[in-house]
This record gives sequence, C-alpha cells and structure tokens, in this order.
Amino acid sequence: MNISVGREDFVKLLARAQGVIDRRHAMTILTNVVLEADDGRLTLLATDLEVSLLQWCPATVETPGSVALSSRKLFEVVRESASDTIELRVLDNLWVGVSYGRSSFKLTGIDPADHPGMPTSDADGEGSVSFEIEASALSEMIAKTVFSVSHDDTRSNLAGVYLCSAEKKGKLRMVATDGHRLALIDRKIKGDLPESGVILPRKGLAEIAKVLPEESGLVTVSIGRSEAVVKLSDSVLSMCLVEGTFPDYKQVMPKETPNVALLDRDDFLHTVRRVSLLSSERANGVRLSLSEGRLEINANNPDLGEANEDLEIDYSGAEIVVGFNARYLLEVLAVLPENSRVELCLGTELSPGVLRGEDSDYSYVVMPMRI
Amino acid sequence: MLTTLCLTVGVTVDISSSSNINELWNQALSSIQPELARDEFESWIKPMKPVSIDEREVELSVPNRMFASWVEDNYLDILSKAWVRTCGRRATFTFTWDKGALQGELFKDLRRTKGKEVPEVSSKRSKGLITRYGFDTFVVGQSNQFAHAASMAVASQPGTLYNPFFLYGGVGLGKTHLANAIGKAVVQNEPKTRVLFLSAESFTNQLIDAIARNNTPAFKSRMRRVDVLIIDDVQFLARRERTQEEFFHVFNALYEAGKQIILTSDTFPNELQGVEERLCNRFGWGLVADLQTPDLETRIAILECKARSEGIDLPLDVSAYIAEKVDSNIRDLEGALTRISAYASLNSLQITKSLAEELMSGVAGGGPKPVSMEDVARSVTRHFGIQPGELSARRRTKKVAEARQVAMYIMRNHVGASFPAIGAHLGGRDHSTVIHACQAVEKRRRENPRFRYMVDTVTKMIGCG
Repeated sequence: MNISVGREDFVKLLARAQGVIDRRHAMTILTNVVLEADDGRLTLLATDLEVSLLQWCPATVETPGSVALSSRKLFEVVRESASDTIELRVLDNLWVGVSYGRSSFKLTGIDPADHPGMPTSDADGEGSVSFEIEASALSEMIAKTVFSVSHDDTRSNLAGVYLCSAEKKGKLRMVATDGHRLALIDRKIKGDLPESGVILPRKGLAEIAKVLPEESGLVTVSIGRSEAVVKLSDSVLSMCLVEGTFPDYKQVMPKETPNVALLDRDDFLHTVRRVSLLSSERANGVRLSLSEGRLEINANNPDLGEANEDLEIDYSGAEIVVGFNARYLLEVLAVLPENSRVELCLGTELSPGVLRGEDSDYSYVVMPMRI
Repeated sequence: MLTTLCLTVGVTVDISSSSNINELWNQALSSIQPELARDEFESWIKPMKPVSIDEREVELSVPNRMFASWVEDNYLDILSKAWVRTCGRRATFTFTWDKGALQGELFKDLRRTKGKEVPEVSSKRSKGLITRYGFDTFVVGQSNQFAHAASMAVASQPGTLYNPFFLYGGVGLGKTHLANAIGKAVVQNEPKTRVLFLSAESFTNQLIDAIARNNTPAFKSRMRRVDVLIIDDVQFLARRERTQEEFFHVFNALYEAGKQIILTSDTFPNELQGVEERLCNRFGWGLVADLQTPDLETRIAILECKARSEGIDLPLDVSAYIAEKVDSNIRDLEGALTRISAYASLNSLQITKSLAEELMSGVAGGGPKPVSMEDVARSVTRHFGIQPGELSARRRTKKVAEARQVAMYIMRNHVGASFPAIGAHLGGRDHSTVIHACQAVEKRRRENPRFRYMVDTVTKMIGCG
C-alpha cells in the first residue's frame, strides 16, 4: 500500500475511530484500525464488535493494499502534522512508514487478516426495516434522550434508548430512562419502523451523535433482528441491539398534573445550578416550594451550609413543596433551547413531575425525592 | 422496610416545632459524642441522618437493615438519652434504610418485572435449597462449632460480616447442610431476599447453556441480581477457565454490591488445584471456616438427632456402637443407621445392639477391620508386582519408589502408624522421608483421578487373600 491523504480528512476519521475503539478490549487486535486503500479512496474500519464504524475519504492511491495499525498511535502521529498531506506506505515485514513535511515515522503494522473485520450485519436482510430522517432531527433526538440512559449494570434493558413508532403516523419515538426520570421525543421520518420497539446501545448513539453535526440532509437507518445500521455520507455505523424488554413507559406518563408552572428556562437553569452547589453530594437534592407567582428553591447540606433563591413565575396552582435531584433537572434544561419557556407540571410531592419545553413532542418525566 | 421502636423515657417538654431538623440532630450528636469512642461514633452514629423529626417521632436514615438492627441493639439507649437531653421529650425512633426511599422510583413495576423473573429463580432455588437442611437439624459438636457459629452470624447479617464465607471440609461433614441452612435462614428472616443456591456443576452447565443459546447477558444479569449466592463444591470449577472467568466477574460484581457470597469446597482455598490464583485469593478474603470429622460424642448426638427426626427408636448402646464403628463421615453414619432401621422395620425386629453388630459386620466399610503394616505391604507388592523384600530394600527404581510411597501413605492413613514407625518398618528410613512420601501421594491423589483410583483399589485389596 502506498498512498497520500489529506491531513484534515485523515484526522477527522481517526478522531471518530477513537471513540469506537475500546482500548481495554480483551481482544487486543481490536485496538487497531484497519486501513484499506483502493480506487482513489481510503477506508478506515474501527470496531469493538458491538459498535462498528466504517468511514472513507478521498486519497491518492499509488499502490492499493491494506494494513492494520494501532489506532491511538496513528492518531497521535497524524494529529501532530503541520503539513497538508500525509504519506502512508507499507514496507517489508508490515512496517508502515508515515511521513509528512520533514518528519517520518515507522510504525509496526499488523496483518489485516488477523482483524475480525466488519461484523456481518442482518440490518439489510430479511425482516429488516429502514427509514430516512433529517440528520439534524436525529441528532436532536439523541441529544435529548441519551443523558437519561441508565448506567446501572444490573438493568441491562435500560442501557440504551428505546426506539419505536409514535402514536402519530410517520413519527419515530425515542425513549430513555434510568428508573428515576424518563425522556421521550417524537420526530418525523420517511419509511418504516419495526413493529415492536428495539433498544439501541448508548455507545452507538453517542458515536452517531458525534458524526451527525457534519451531515446535512437525510440519513438512512436500517434495523434488523439484532443490529441497527446508520448510513451517512462518508461512513456507516452499525451497532448490536440491546437485548431485553424495555419497561412500559406509557404507564408512568402522569395523566393528571394539576399544578402547572411556567418558567423561563435560563432563569430556572441558573437558579437550580447555583442552589445545588450546597446540596448534599450524593443525593444532590434541591427543594422547590411553589406558591402563587413564586418559586423558591433551596438546598442544604449539614456539612456545608444552605442556599436559597426565589424566582417570579407564572403559577396559580396549589402551594406545594417538592424535592428533586438537581442533576435530573439540569440535564434536561441543558438540552432545551435558550430563551424559551418551560412548563413544570406537578401532582403531589411524591408523584412524578413533567417538564416540557415549547415543543409538545418532547416530554421529560422525573420522580421527586424526599428531602 | 421500617422498624419502629417506642421509647418511654424522659419527660415531655414542648419544643418549638420550627426548629431546624439538622440543628436539633447536631445538638443531639454533640451530646452523644463524648460518651462513645471516636471510631464507634464515626461508624455507627455519624452515618445516620435525620429524615424527619416531629413531636414524637424521629426518623433516621441508615445505610441498611443490618445497620438499623445494630443501632437498635447497641445504641438505642444512648440515642434516647441524648434526645431527652436535647429536646427534653420522649421520642419514637424510626429507621429507614431503603436507598430508594429518598429518590422516588418511576417504575413501580420495574421492581415487579424484576420480581416476576426473580421468584422464578428463587422458587426454583427454594427447591434447590433442601428444606430439611436447616440450622435446627444441624448437630453442633467441637468439630464444627466454629463453622456453625460463623454460619449463624452470616445468616443473620448477610453481606456485611463475613464476605465471602468459605466453608471447607471432607465429604459428608455437613458443608452443604450449613450452606443450605444459611440460605434457608436468610429467606426466613427476610422473605424478599433473593437466594441462589447452585452447585459449581450447575453454574457451569447454566453458563454453557447460555453460551449455546447465545444468551450470556441474560445469564450474567441473572447472576448479578441475587442477594445471596451460594456455590456448592467450588473445587469443580477446576480447569474450567471460561467458567472461572465468568465466576470471577460475578464474584466481583456481587462483592462490590455488598451481596453475600457463600462457597463450599473440600479443600482450603489456597490449595484448590486448577483454579486461578486470583479466584483462590478472593475466596480467602472473608472468613474461611473448616469442618472436621466429628468426635464420638458428636457422632452419637447426630445419630440420635437423625433417629428422632425419622421416628426411629434407637437404644443408646446401639447409637454408641454405630458411632464407634463408623468414624469417617456423617453420610456413612446416617447410611448405617438407615440400613439398620430399614432391616429392622422390614423384618419387624427391635433395633438392638446384637442386630446392629450382625448387620455392621457384613458391610464393607462398616467399621474398618484392624489392618497391620504387613497387610499393607502385602497388598502393595501384589499390586505393583514387586518382591516383598523390595519395599524395604535400598533400590529406588521408579516402580519400587512409587510402590514404597504408596505403601507409606496407606500405612499412615489407614493403619494410623507413626511416621518413624513406618520408616522403621520399611528398611529403617527417616521419618522425614515418610512425611514427604505421604504429602507427595496426597498431592498426586488430588491431581490425578487415575492415581487416586489406583491407591483406593490397593487400599480396598488390603486383607483380601
């Protein structure tokens, strides 16, 4: 293999590959990226066998060929380049020469045949479905749900975002929960959705989310029995679906929340952030006291002290005091647009509350805490 | 998950109800502090946080149920006095330890969904847990006193005291019984606890099954969901690397989550052959308790306990006779009793000492006949096909040396001769030579089943012709 490739493209591809590659994977071969050059194109494969990313960029190919290389080292070497093009050449005994400007490196390569390669996918096979969605919409859906995904090892069915069809036809729904809060969003798509919902792993979605901002137009998502594949303009990302049954999220959506407050998103966010500085570290609780036209937020930590702040809000419901984990509020407020209004709907101090922005297709349910 | 205790000390004095909870609590704390040693205060009083305080009730959040019961038993008096000093009124102390109590759960049924799967496991397991193996049917003697006491402690506070709890002892000495009893007691104390009792063998089989069905995540999560995991006969994990690997992760996950792990084995953890060192090492982290062969009095007590539970009328001289004849392990002991009682009931006879003598004499292993070192030497030379004199000669060919070692081992373990006596019998060898031979044979016996079979055969042949 003997090629030259633009630095900017190469760095971008390698940077994305780092996220997919698990440096502590039991199979050390998987810490390598596989480079393949052919037909004026360089293809780069990174996988941890659960999530795989295949990307490509244009290159001047003098001799086609392929090689596997330590993903991290190659990235570090290429990133330091000041020159616009990078030359790559496979030498004897799988040594790989990387050179730019006046620098040259010799890295140990590995026979690409030892790498398991792109896992075979069933996402295009029989029984699979596929749909198209705006890149920006998909990106938004992931950003607004993925933070609610559970980190609890023992609840593997919550370790991903649930993807199913919404009540309204032609809309995709994504739901994520960790058992304490739940985020749900609907967006328009073109195409078919699987009959029963599937769970996409957090890691796969996080990697997709990194690539999406550079995309424009439609992206294609295919879902098979055990895999989902997202096709983008310069890459394909496939991920294994999470096994297990997602809990019945519909039954936890509160039907009645008589106490509705309207707040300014920015004020609310900053107040909670300030007050939570003095909440206890583990529970991270803040107390919200609502009364007519007023919201008082306070927190106290027996070891540190206490904090109080009040806001003028649009509220005419009953007086109510309710505790929340501040993190659960901050994370959702962070993904809502700036300069917007949010609606906080509460039942009692022990029943779930709902937070909504101006977009009625996005809701966030959060369980209070006793403080 | 609340326990309520009423205290009726002190005089009721009204106190402004607007007092800050934490302030009150801190005042109480500062009055407790001088009364206790620093580490005692730090570990038992400080972790408690007030949840709510009103006229008559103080609700405290504690890390777990064990903590609550410990505080109840040991510090309630101090707490109550301090409370009277602080507020001048009596109070009811309530402890909350449910972690979820602070943060509400969105899915009430997430627990239930879990519940749906788990009872399946636990009901299957409660079949696996042998109901008649409880603490009530376990006879305690000097040989197993420690193991029994430790098991009781583990059962009362699973996951906190001794974790992992490792029981070892020879066959039929009650390892499985004790491990079972712990599981049973835990479920009795706290019916919601998920106890999983598995033999190492079925752990392996379930894993193989999961791999075959390509469903290892389900297996993993099933293992990680239990509160008490009991693995019987862990020595059978030997040389099963994948199983050990999986078990290692299960072990770590449970250990870190503070779940109780109970293991039984026929050897000391560090001597488990073919088990990875990191596992053996972990097995020894908690408490290792051994079960010894019971002494005569315990054996008699075991027989009488068994006889009582089976409704057998067993005269004292008969139980003493059986206990004297069978000294190897409890399984054989109970086997002998069953044999005698079955014979007696089938033939409508009374159980008497003479009947027992008659039956026991006809049974192989029912009371070892006294064997001499000569008998052993004869059997060994015959088996190895060497000349009788060669055992005590100087020759050290491979075959002769092996035969000599086996002879020494059998003389030591079945004749019970002393090391110097064996040495003297076999051509005036040093006692350290004999000790080495016994250890070497013991080691090979453990590692090599064929060798073990050979030694057992030679042993059985002693005194036959």
